[in-house]
Amino acid sequence: MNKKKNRIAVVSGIRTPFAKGDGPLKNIQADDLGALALKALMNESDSNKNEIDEIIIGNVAQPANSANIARVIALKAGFNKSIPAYTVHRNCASGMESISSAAYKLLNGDENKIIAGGTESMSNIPFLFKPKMKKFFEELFKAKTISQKLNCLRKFKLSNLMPIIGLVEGLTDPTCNLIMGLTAENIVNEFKISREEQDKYALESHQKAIKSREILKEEISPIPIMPDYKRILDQDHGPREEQTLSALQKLKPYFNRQTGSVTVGNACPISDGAAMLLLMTETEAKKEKKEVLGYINSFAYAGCEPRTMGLGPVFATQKLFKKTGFSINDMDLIEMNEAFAAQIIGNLRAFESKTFAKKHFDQSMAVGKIDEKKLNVNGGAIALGHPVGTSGTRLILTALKELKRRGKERALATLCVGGGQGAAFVVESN
Amino acid sequence: MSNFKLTIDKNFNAWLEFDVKNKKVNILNEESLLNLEEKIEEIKKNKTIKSLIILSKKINNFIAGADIFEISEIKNREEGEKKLIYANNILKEIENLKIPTIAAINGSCLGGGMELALACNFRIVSDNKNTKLGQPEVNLGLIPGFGGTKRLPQTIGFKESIKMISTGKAISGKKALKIKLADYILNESHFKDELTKLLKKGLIKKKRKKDIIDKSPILQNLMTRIAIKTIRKKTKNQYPAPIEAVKLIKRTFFKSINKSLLDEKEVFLKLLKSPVSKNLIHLYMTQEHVKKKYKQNKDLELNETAVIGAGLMGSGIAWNLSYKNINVSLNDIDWKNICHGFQNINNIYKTLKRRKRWKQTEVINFMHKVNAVTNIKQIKNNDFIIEAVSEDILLKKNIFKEIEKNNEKSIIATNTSSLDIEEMSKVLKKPENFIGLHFFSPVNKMPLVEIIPNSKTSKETIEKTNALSQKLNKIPIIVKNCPGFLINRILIPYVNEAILNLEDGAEINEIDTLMKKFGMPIGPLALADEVGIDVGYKVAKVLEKGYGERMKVSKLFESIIKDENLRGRKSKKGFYDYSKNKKENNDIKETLKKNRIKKEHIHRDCLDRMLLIMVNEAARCLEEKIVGSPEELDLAMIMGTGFPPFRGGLCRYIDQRGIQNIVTRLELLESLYGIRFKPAKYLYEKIENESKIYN
Repeated sequence: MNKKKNRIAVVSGIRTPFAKGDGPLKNIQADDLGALALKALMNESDSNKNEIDEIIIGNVAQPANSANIARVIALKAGFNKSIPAYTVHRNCASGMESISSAAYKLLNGDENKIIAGGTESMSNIPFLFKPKMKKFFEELFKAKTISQKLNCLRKFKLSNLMPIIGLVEGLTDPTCNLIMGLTAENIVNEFKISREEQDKYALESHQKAIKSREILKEEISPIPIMPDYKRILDQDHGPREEQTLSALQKLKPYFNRQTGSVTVGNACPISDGAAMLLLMTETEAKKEKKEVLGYINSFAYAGCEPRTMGLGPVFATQKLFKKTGFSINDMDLIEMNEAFAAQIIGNLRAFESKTFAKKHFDQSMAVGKIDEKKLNVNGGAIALGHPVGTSGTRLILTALKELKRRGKERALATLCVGGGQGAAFVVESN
Repeated sequence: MSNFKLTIDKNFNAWLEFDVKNKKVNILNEESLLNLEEKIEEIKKNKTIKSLIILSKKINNFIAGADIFEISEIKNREEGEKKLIYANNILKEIENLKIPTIAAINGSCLGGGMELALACNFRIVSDNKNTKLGQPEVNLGLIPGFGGTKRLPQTIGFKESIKMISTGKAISGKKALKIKLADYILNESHFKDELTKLLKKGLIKKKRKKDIIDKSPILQNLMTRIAIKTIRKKTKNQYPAPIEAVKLIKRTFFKSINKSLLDEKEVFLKLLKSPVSKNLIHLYMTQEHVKKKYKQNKDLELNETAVIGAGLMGSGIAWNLSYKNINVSLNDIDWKNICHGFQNINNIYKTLKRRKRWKQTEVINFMHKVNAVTNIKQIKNNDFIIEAVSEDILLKKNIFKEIEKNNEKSIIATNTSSLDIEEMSKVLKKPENFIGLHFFSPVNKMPLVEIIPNSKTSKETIEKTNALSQKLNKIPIIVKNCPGFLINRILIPYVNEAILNLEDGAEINEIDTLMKKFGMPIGPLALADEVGIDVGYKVAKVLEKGYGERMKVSKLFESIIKDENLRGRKSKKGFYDYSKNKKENNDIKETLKKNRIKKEHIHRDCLDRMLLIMVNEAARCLEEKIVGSPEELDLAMIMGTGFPPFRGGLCRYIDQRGIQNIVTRLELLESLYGIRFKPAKYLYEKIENESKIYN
């Protein structure tokens, strides 16, 4: 793709503050978070609700109480019933998938203005009953006579009550049976990454995020906290001012308790939050003389080994570069989602490794060495949080805002996807 | 042309369809009753008819009741008695028909309509949400007069009938089925088809089983006493009808129908004579008059609205909009204020949730209608904006200039209780879109709004503001721009006079009790505490500036306002002390004791001073045409200040007491207490023309 082609204009964008699981946003469901972000987006933008043609939202947990959560969000945010909405799911890249789905529709000329975004409330992912318990309930409800009922009750075992934790299920890859933390341990082993490196990286993420508190407020719309509205949350709740290396080093490995090195401190937390962008094509935006945040030049998704799903960014970026002719040196900033410190470090090594390129892409050149000064300059998910369906949108929003602030041109926003995929977007300020 | 149409189908069912010409609802007026009598005669003669179905051609209405206008025109006891006997005889004819009789109720079925349905063997209702059954006569100070106090208890038992008749509240079709008032419930959209099918199958009467109260006179006695006590407490003993109704039901429960009807007639005629009933009927006509005058034909289309200022008023108005499912952006300068605003709104919904047994999700959906905005530049593309910041004319003007830029087509309304609308309109580029819209506090409870156009406000703006007010379930009254508009212009002098009374030697409790006995829901001094003494004072000063000597703020008011701890209920102290149980504030009493010289006649004049200061100002408002009609003035006073409905309104009070009496009294008060009691020119004119305020 060359620069002359019609790009997607990001007319405006906003997000809620992110909060750690069971934190200040724990009582707000994913649809309500999404609606709050959507209303805030409409405040930011100079468009009317009725000008919007479609609303596309990414969401991973897909709460049972709001099927097609995008539609629920649109109606709750006060959109007219005639405006359609649908939900997309590409696991951790859902918040990017919504944007790329919108891009196709816009470029095809089907629609003029689409809102794309993501929402997630990981605090509200429910516990489930085991199949045995379900069967017990079914039999009990079917039982008519008292003796049948008693008979059924007799079969009850206390162990049936042990719940299935929805969150853990969701974070476990059913094909390789690994929880995400263990896929990070695989990267640790493959690239021989030390515990110190990981903890140091995590600490820096917090330090950068704390330093950028005020900067990040530019992309955040404060929200009155439901259900009592007793206070307002106006900044991300994850970044820790008092974070120290020694504190991080004291933490026990969480996923591989004996020999592992991935801890809750050098991984991203369970998080709640939502983000929204208003998208048009570049030509239409210019026709309507819109002031825009920036543009989406191109994007690519790629598959990779589920056991090391964290390497997704290098696979997706390689594909995107090949497709567009961009190189890492064209990028003024890089936003790479910090699922795990180990996973970021693994990617940094893979990006600059000729061997890796040769082995996986059959090319002699490395994908490109990443200048760490350009990487996640305002901190990343380890500090800010990773509401899975939302992060994709957040990366693009943060990258565009930062390009504007720095007066720079181009950024790469990329993230790894549970199940073994990567997503990569090239965004531009002008 | 008869109001009833009789058709006999091939199965020999007689369908008697009620359709009063030129009216939206069916009413049992003289003509309808005459037509009904003829048709019943016809049915009696036709021996082939197997059953009679009475139904309505109106949408969402079965029968709305008797003709209230006709009732109001009844001149004497004989005329009333004649009408009652006539109607009751027709119902008896229906009751005595040898064939099964069925009232097919798809829509509201009230008062006389309900009594007609009770005279039938079967009542079949629909699940239409407009299907409501009730005996609302007590709202007019009356009781059912077509046998309702006998046939309803016979049908649904002692307990339920006392509830329905004494409260006047209507019940849904589903509830009617549950208490066996209805025999069947049918789907609204297939009402007639289902009914036909049911007739083919044959109707079965499942009579309600008598409960223990129906059998025991002792329990009935007990229940009657409890009910009367509750009613007395609720109505402050000012409304005799519900009590009479309960007593009557008790007295006639075991009597024969003929004897019961005689008793009912006596009680009905007694109540009809009473001033309470006369005033309530008058008030009903007043309401109808105003409703007609403010009627809106076009539906108001609103996409986006905004409220500027998230204080108590602003958030109350935002609540009102959200509750009607209108998107509203609530703007304030900082998030802390917005947060308070959201709390206020949420608290109102919490109460509603408890009362209406909502789920939390319903509260959340309403709360989402409110959108928080701190940057006023983001208030854009609205259809209707209501500004409700603090009463600071400069601040308000700046806001209007700012919001006019991004809201070209919007109506901009200002919620003010005392600022000059004309003056504010000058800063706007489009004063035609600008209007005053005065809500009363608390917004969720007070049913009145004052609409105040400026000299350039367009007709369309007035109409839309009227439409919005009605959409918000408020009663709008259009008033001219003047200091205090209508309500505060009349009410604040009354509060001021109460304080002057206090200065002159009356007691806090005495003053408030006098007004409560008159029928006000709350005494003037307690009212000042509720509103906030500082708030009242601010308006009082505006009035003093606007009207001079006659609205001079009392010395005591001036000295109280200096003490910042005395702000009324919100500061826990005002005329009363609210720190524990509400009691008179002794500090004020102490200060007073030192200074005041008790005037003579104080106790004799106390009530009239407060009442007639209002009367006199109301007369001036009519004289200056601040309000369009006495009907509007009376309704505004009742809805805006709680002026007792059983008195029919302030103008009605003047007419009933007699203008000459009032003027004489005012002249006396003027000589004793000062020029503020000088009777308004308007009153003298009325005496000269020998007319009343209501013609």
